[in-house]
Amino acid sequence: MALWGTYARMNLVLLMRSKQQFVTYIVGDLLARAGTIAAVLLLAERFEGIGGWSQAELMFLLGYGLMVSGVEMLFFSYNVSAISRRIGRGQLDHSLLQPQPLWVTFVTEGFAPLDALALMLPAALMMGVPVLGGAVALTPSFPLLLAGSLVASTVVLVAFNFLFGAVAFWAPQGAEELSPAATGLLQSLKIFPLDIAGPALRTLLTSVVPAGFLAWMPATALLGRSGPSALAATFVAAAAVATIATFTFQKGLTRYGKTGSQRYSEFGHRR
Amino acid sequence: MGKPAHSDTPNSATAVELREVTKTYRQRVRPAGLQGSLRALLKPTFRAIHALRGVDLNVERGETLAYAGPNGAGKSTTIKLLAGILAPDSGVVRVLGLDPVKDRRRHVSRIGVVFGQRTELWQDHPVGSSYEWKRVVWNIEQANYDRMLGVVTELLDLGDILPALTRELSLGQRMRAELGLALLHEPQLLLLDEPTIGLDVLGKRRILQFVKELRASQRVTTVVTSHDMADLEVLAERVVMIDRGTLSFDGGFRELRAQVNPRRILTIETAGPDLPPALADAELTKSEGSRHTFLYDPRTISIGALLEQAAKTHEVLDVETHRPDIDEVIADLYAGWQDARAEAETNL
Repeated sequence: MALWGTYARMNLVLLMRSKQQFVTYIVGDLLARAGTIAAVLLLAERFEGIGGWSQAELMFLLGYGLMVSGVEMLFFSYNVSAISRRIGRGQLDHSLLQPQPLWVTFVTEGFAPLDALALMLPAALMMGVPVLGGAVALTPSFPLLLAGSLVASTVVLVAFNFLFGAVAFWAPQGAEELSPAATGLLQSLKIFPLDIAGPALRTLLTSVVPAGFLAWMPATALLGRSGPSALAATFVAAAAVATIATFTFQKGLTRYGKTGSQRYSEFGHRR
Repeated sequence: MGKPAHSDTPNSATAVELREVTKTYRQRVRPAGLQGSLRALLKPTFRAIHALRGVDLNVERGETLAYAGPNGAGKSTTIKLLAGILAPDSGVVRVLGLDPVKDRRRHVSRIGVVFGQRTELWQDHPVGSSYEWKRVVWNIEQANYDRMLGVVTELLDLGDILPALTRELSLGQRMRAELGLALLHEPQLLLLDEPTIGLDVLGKRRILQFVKELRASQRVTTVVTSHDMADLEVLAERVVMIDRGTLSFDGGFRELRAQVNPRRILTIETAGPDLPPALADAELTKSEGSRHTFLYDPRTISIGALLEQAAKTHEVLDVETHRPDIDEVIADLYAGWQDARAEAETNL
C-alpha cells in the first residue's frame, strides 16, 4: 500500500506540473478512446444493434472493454506496460537492483490513478447507463461478478502483454515492434461482439488471440445472454495466459542473467 | 578442482570474493553486404567474447579498490556480477557472504550501485521525490532515513539540488544526487562504475573528495572503475588491472608505476649556455631555452650523480623531479598488452 501511495503521489505530481500538461494528458487519453468507441456506437445506431446486441448492450460491452483498459492503466502504466522496451533496453537492471520481488515492482511502479481515471470514469458511465436503463438484471452477486470478471479480463490483457514482451529476452529489437502490435490487436478486437464472427474466427479469438475475454465473453454472461460458463471460461483463460506468461518470463529472466543486455538505453525509463 | 571455500557470514573480513569466475558472451557475426546478411540470416554464426577468464579477486571490508582496464576488458561485467544483475558461467561470486543472484533481495539491500552513464533518479520529479521513493521501496526506517539524508545533504552539498527536477540538473549535480541516493540505505558495499565520466574538473574533484571522506567516515567498502587512472589513484591504494578478462595486475599504484615504467622525469634549469648538459644514463626528452628535461631510471643512477654531471658544465639554478603521469604509465601498459597480443597472434 505504501508503494502504491508513493507512486500515486508521483503520478499526481507528474500530471500537475502544469495546467497545460494536465489538460492535454487527460483530454488526449479521452479523445483516443472516444474515437474507437464512437465508431462502434454509430454503427449500432445505424443498424439498430450489431450481431443481435441492442445499443444498450453494446454500450455496456464497450464500457466494460474501456474499464479493462482503465484497470490496466491503473496498475501497469508507463514503462511497465512497455515491458518489451524495458527488457530490450536493459532497463530491467534497475528493477533487479531493488530489494523486492520483481512482481511487486511490476504491480506497483506503473500505478497511475489519475491517468486511469480518464478511462475509468467514462467506462463506469457507459456501463452505468445500460444498467440503470434495465438492460442488465441486477442481482446481489452482480457487483462481485463484475469486479471478478474485470480482474480476470485485465489479467488476460496484462499477461498477454508480458508474454509478447518477454520475447525481448531473445529478440530485443524485434520485440519492441511485435509486443505493442500483439497487444494492440487484442485492444482493437475487444470492442466487437464476437457473435458476428464465424465459429472458426470466434474460436481463434477465444484461444490463441484471447481478445474475446477482454469484453465479449464476460459481457455476455453479465448481460444474461449466456450462462455462467462464459464467466468461468474468462477465469480459466486468465489463469492459462498468466501461467504461460509467467513461465516464459521466468525462462527469459534466467537467460537475462546469463546474457545481460548489450543495448542499454534510458529512454522511457524513470518518467 | 573442488569448490573453493567461502564465507557465509556477512561479518567476515572479506567483502567481495571471486573464485575462478568466467563469463563468456556469444556475439552474432554480422557480415556486410546483402549476400552476407542473407547467409547470416539462414545460417547465423557466433563468436565467443570472453569477458572474464577464471578471475580470482578478494576485497576486504573497508577497502577501496580501483578496478581498471581498457574498453571491453571486463570491468562492467565484473560490476554487474557483483551487483547480481548477471550470473557467472562458472566459478563463485560471494558478496558480503551472499550469492548475489540467488540471494538477490537481501544482497541488493546491502549494496549501493552507481553507474556513471545511467540514472536511478526519476527524471521528471524533484530529486527529493526520488529519495522519498527510495525510502519506501528500500523500506528504510524514517529515523535512519532522516539521519542519512542529513549526512548526504551535508557531504554532497545537496541543499539546492533536492528540490530541483532531475532533468534540469547539470551532470556534476546529477552525479552528486546519484551518490546520495545510493547511500541512503547505508550500504556496506558501494559499486561505482565510471562515476566521474563526463564531469568537468570541479565536478570530478567534488565527487572524488566525497568518496574519500566517505571511506574515512563510514568505512564503506568501495569498488570503483574508471578510465581515468588519475582519479583512481586519488581514491584507492590498491589497483586491480584487467585485460581481456584476465587480471594482469593487483597491487599498489607505486608498484604499478615501478613495474610498467620505473623511470622518472628530471627538469633542470641552467644559467649557462642554452645547450643542454650531457648526462650519462639519462635521456633528453625536451629542451626549451634554459629548461632541459630528462628521463632517468633511479635504479641505475641517482639524482645526485646526475646533478654532479650537470654542474660540471652548467650552473644549475633549479631542479624538479617527478614521476610520469599515471595516464602515461597506463598508456604504456595497454600498448604493451597490445604488442604482446599481436606477437602471440603472429606466432600462431
